Amino acid sequence: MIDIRGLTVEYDGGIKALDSIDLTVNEGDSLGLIGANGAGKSSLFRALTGLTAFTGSIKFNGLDVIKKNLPSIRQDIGYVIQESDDQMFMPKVIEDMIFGPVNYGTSKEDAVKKADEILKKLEISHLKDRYNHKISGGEKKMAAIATILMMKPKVILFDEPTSSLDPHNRRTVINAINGIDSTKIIASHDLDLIYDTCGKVALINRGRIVKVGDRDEILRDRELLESNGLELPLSMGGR
Amino acid sequence: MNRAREASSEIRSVEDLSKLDSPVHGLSPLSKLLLTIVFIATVASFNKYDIVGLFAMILVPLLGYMISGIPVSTCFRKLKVVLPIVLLVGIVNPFLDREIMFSIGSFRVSYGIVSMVTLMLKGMYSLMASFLLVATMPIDDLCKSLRKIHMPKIIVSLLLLTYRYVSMFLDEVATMTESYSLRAPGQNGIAFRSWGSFLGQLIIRSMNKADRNYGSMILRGFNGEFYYCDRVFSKLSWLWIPILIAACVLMRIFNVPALLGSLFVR
Repeated sequence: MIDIRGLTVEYDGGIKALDSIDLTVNEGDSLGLIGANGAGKSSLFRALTGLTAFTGSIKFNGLDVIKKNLPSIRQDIGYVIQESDDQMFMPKVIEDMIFGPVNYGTSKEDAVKKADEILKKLEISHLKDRYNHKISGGEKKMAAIATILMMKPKVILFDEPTSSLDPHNRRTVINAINGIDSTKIIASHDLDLIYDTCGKVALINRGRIVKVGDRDEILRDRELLESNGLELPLSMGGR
Repeated sequence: MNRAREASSEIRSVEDLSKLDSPVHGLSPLSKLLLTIVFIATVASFNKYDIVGLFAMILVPLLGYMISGIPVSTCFRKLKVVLPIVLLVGIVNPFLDREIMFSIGSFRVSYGIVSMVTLMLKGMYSLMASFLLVATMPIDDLCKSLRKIHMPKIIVSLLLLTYRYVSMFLDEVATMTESYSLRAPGQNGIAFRSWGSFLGQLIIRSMNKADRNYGSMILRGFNGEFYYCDRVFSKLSWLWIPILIAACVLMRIFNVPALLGSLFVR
């Protein structure tokens, strides 16, 4: 489904955020992308969605991630940005939710119907007509996920989905992620979240993929995690 | 509350007013825009000494405020920063134009004083009408109207995004000034020597935020054209417009207060 070969992202000043990455994500995978701050997780997501320039190749369902293919690729990839404030730019939750589908030609009535279903599924129907600036951080994160689900994406990218959430909201978001059928890539250094939501894990450090493997194989390897700026998940006896 | 945060919340509260339900809110946005333009043009066209005729013009915005359910005091409260500036226009007229126009008892009123008051009234009426327009029309409606009259989509999108971005920008300013003041106790505002780095940081943060917002928009199919609210407005609302425009023009042509006065005083 996603085939990445020799992906390099270089920012001004010659800083390489990603350095010759190879990675394959299959349909139905739930891949955890783990790494310390600045490892290159967000850069990988930005490259996947064509938001940042890169060298190398990314293929999504056989289509190269290049300018002319972006409209159709972006219809199939949902990206839940780390800061929900950056994602929710319309005044009300419902307006934000129907923004994408209406842009892609769905009628407003159908989009609102679909929004009602998704809000119900995520158990946040009460947020429908609320103003984005008046809802809490946890609610905003759930609403941001809802806006992405509206696009019926084949792949969803979650960038630190539980950062700055309290335990209750964190659990709500984890349940929501687990309830989504699409292929998922979840970038986080919250390894307990990764353990709860992913079957496969890719460890990234300083722009390079260190190891890709099964969840248990990587998340139980204390030495591997600590040598890459991470710690064992709390649920596995981490500090 | 931080001043920037206060300003941001003021903007949002005006948006809340625009979501009220009243006959004025129900008028078609284009008709309201047209009426506001005609009203301001009529007010501006009054002779600078025609203070009596101008008094009657206040009836139009007052009527609008009454029907919309928005207290006039809200307008003055929201515009408390701009109003004094408007009222200062013409402040020098009494010194330049000292010829006496009439006297009230021993108080002699010069042409300069009359023209000053006239200018103040013109400014105040225009602000009142503009505020009424904004407070009864969500920005989406305004943008939709502008698109209807074939305003280029790039300009309309720019207007909409700028409007949306002002609140976010003010929130960003508020966050920065709050974190500054927490580490600069006793300072009143931001020290002059920090202005450069403060503004520089603000620009960088704003650009980054705008970039992330835009990224989020294009990922959801944004191609430069916003969809706007699909509210259906009664065609009857267009009936009010010729009536109100006619009222403005009649008040411009005929000196209504003088006519009313002549009924009682010979």
